[in-house]
Amino acid sequence: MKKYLLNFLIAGAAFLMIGIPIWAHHGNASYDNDNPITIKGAVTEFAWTNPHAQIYLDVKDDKGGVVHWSVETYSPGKLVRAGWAKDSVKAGDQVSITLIPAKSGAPVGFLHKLVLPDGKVLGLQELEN
Amino acid sequence: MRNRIVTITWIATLAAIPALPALIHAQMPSQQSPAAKSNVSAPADPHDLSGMWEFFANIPGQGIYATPSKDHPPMTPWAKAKYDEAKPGYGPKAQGGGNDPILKCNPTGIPRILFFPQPFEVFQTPERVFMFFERDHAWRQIWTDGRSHPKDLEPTWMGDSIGKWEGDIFVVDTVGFNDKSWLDFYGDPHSEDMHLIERYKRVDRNTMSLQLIVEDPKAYTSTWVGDTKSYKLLTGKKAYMEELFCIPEEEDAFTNRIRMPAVGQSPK
Repeated sequence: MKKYLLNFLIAGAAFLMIGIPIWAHHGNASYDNDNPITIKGAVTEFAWTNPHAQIYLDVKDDKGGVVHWSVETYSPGKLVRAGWAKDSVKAGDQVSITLIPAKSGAPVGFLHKLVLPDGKVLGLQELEN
Repeated sequence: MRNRIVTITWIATLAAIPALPALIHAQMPSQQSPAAKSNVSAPADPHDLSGMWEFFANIPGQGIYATPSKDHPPMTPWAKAKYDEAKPGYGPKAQGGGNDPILKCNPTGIPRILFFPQPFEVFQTPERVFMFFERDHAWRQIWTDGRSHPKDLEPTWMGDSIGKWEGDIFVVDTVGFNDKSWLDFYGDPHSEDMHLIERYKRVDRNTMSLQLIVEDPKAYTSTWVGDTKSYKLLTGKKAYMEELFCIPEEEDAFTNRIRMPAVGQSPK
């Protein structure tokens, strides 16, 4: 029975992992689609421009230093349909961003999800049904 | 017995994979408004494609075929040379940086603009079907008054389109393309001889399907028949399109601030 349970868990994990490539099309070849990470920091700029909106933020590292991250996301029109607004994010906001990072190791990424200081989550889901 | 249970578990898991996107949507019932629910079941005129339609990038396939290497017809030497020069950001040849013509704000062109995650609105008149694209703020017209393609067409990015209904399928026939746009996100070329067929069907109120057929003997040695794309109707507050022009300064700024740093290169 134990072995059955283990196999069931492995199968379940495989099932969940297969979901990851669904995100793959949000980024391009520059990003590591399979290994999203979450960073937390203070927003320095929210650029509401095409072709992709951008969020810049300062993230403290383990050694007390600050790393300046550049994060791209969808075009403003798509963000509006997903519930964002031009002033959803402001300089100084402490935010948490889940992103796929650049394969190069540079502090650049493609946003999947942002959590505002009040806990509100902004994602990329546009469809209601 | 134990092995049978394990086998059945694996089979059930693998069998569920194609249904995954639907399952994920099904896990979000809290986001579904009562209006959206009623729209799903309401009938739609199959000969009315009007509405704002969006191709969702999480439904794979930013090309004629979802998987760029699948059912790809052999290229002629002319097309192979162009393909070898292409440095796309997506697909089998994906690389950072690159020379995608849209990075210089060249028009996206037909059919590639149909594969973008930005929506387009279909507007029908007795003589024409219009498509207005959020991407590039572009538009095209498809003549439905029975006319033929003009002779001696000047090559254009969108081509010359005529359309007619075959049962519940709206068939769009386009020729007169220039060869400056890529066919898809993956760097596949096409020539001025391309003959493109688009087959649209309103599957239900909220869904429109599209199949593309590419005949381009100068570029491909056989006809390229695409898979079935799916577009979803944007309703209520979601039925919104912004003014999305490609602005060279904004593209350059984005390249300098994001694209180049992402691949470890210094801004220009």
